[in-house]
Amino acid sequence: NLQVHRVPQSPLSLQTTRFQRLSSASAQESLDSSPPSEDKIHLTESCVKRLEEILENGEYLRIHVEGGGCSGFQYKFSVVDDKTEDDRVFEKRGVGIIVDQDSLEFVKGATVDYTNELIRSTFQVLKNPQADHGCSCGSSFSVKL
Amino acid sequence: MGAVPRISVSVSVVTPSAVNRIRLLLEDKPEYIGLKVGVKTRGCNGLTYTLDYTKEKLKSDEEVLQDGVRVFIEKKAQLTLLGTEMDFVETKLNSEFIFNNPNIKGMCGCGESFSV
Repeated sequence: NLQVHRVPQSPLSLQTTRFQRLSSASAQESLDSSPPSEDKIHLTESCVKRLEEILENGEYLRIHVEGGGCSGFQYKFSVVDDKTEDDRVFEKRGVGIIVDQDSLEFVKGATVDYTNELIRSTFQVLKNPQADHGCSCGSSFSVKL
Repeated sequence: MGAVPRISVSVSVVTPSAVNRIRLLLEDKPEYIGLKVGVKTRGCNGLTYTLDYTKEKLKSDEEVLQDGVRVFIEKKAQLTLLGTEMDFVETKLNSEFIFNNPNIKGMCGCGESFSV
């Protein structure tokens, strides 16, 4: 089994590495002072329903955070089947969202919804505790520093 | 059935895919006569389109009749929609009505708001 170990280069990746150690030590361990849901991605009922419709076996909805948009960062959604060891999986009723560790730092604690409006239906990141203020369309945001 | 170009109405074409979608939306809602397009101030680029079911046609509304479906354009939206094509695109990740607009100068990265 191949295991990828990344060399910490910044405070951000240091933090990420610590996370991996913590979570692999024991999932049930309650020594962690932060609430258990803090580094999770939450899925709304509408999001789960839509994922049940569109995902084939082995497929996930990937959320990737990249630079861009009017507020500095933006969310990218894609349907993929290339889950790697760097990805965290957040599942509900057998369908899941995957987020790479770097992106997770920018969306942990957030809720993913599939909003249904007459003019448009789309996946959206809601209530992102890592985001300061966003574009009103919700696809772009700036980070809390 | 091809979309026939029109002159002197705000939305000039409703594509077949948009017509089908509108038909589907109205199928089980006999109380509505069509959809109404408006604009509101929102988004980083100033304006965004709105879409609602409508029960009535106001005097100031412009009506676009395409293949049996009726789309009403609010007065405020008419100028910005001049010459546009109303389309409906659907992917796994989203489905939306879009207005292909030759008058738009600036576009927000998300495509939801625009400046004229």
